Amino acid sequence: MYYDAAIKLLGILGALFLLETLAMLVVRQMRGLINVYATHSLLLAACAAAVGYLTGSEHLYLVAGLTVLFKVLAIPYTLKRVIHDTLLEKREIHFVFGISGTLLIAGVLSVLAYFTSAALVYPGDTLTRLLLPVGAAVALMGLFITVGRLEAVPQISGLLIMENGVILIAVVTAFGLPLIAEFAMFFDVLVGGLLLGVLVMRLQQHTDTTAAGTLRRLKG
Amino acid sequence: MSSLLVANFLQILVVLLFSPLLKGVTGRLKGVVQSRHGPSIWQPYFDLYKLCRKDEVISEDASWIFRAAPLVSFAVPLLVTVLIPVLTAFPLTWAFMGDMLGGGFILSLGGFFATLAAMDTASPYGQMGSSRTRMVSFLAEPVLMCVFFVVSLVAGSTIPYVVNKAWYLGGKDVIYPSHVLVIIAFFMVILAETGRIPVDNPEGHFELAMIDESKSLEYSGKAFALVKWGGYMKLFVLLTIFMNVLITPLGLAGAVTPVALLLAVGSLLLKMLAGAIVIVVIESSLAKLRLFRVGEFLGAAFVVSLLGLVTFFIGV
Repeated sequence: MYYDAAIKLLGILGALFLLETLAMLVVRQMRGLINVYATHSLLLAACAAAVGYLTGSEHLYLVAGLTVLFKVLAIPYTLKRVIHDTLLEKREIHFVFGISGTLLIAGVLSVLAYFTSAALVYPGDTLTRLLLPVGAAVALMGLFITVGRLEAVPQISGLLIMENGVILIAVVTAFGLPLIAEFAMFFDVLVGGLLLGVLVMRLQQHTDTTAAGTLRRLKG
Repeated sequence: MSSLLVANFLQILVVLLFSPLLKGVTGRLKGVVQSRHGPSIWQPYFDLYKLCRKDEVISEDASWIFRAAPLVSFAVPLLVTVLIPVLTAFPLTWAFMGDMLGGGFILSLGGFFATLAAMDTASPYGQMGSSRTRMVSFLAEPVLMCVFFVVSLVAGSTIPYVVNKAWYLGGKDVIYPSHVLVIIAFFMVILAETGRIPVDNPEGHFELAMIDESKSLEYSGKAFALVKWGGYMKLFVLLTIFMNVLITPLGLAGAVTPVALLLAVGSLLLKMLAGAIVIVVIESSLAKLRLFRVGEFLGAAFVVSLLGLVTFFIGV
């Protein structure tokens, strides 16, 4: 009975995960981006927990817990602490492709992800069929966020989103990595987020802007 | 046969009588969220009553379109009502006269007349409003099409009574992401089509910022009451389609008996309350978009519905 509910929940979570990624593509406020990332990670944790319940692999609960601890709480908190308020209250005005263009390209990317990953699924493997394309689409869209935005903070968020997509793929195909690798990865992401936050502040101090996309020549 | 007719008329009556209540409850809830008392939930009824007793002023140069438009926009949601499952789970007398596309066309007929009527008196605000509404609805059209495609592909039919059985999520083993995406895209279209935040502010009184409201600026008295009532019913009908066709047919009457119909009315009102709460949450947490951002909002809705279509073809 709970099994049925869990597999239904997975479809809904997959859709929300895609939607949250689309939201990530269009949010302009820096602080909003970090909040959307926290929600995105919360959905990832829910997916991991549901997959853990469905497949009986209990260490996925741990993955879900670690995701909540690191990505929902720690990384957004550190990013908000490290990056100065004046920067966080800024809005990004220019996108490389404009918002409508960004959304359409994201649509094309997810079509691509669905086409390529549908071939990788065993017939009858509902779990993978539901979430593998979602993970692939999210990873591609994360890459697109890093490419298609001009400010440094959204670019960081793109990297983090890409990482979330890859984790989702790992969760649905291999039911998670060995625990030690899992831990290493979470710490990596935390340290990575922290370092990128520090780098953004250095960028701000040096060049008075974080619009990394418009930096074309070296400044003495 | 005659009992089906009775149910059909009851269905129209429910839409007619309870649509102002939906508006009233939304207004009151919004007041509560903003920590003020808010107007009474019966306020829309008082408004309609007051308007019905007032005199009407019509420009000398207004043509028949200006006089006909309130009647059309009042009748159109009622016509759609006979096509959709409001109270009963089984098709009623006129259910097969039109499908969801037909309902969409009928609703846009109302929009068409309202647009013409707003331009009829040559008021600058009316013309601005009409061109803006046209912009919003042509941007909403592709989304609606994608939603209809997915829905009819799943059900193998476009008749709402057939669709809600095939589409019902509770009866499925697996919910695919396409279902959820299509439902969300349709909700975004409802927000745009009925002139609610983030596309339009229904409470705004600043003419330059109006989209939907400015079409009725020239109306007064009974005609204005009809236009307003038509607007309430349009929201009610669209939310009914959303709740009864796309979300769940649960609570619809299985037979034409007084008890079953009464229960169906109760469950419909509960569903409307749920819809009102969602709308209030959205309206209280978002700001109205600038006019040229509306395209981005509906573009997002289009991408969501397109994703629904694509994931249906590849994912299922």
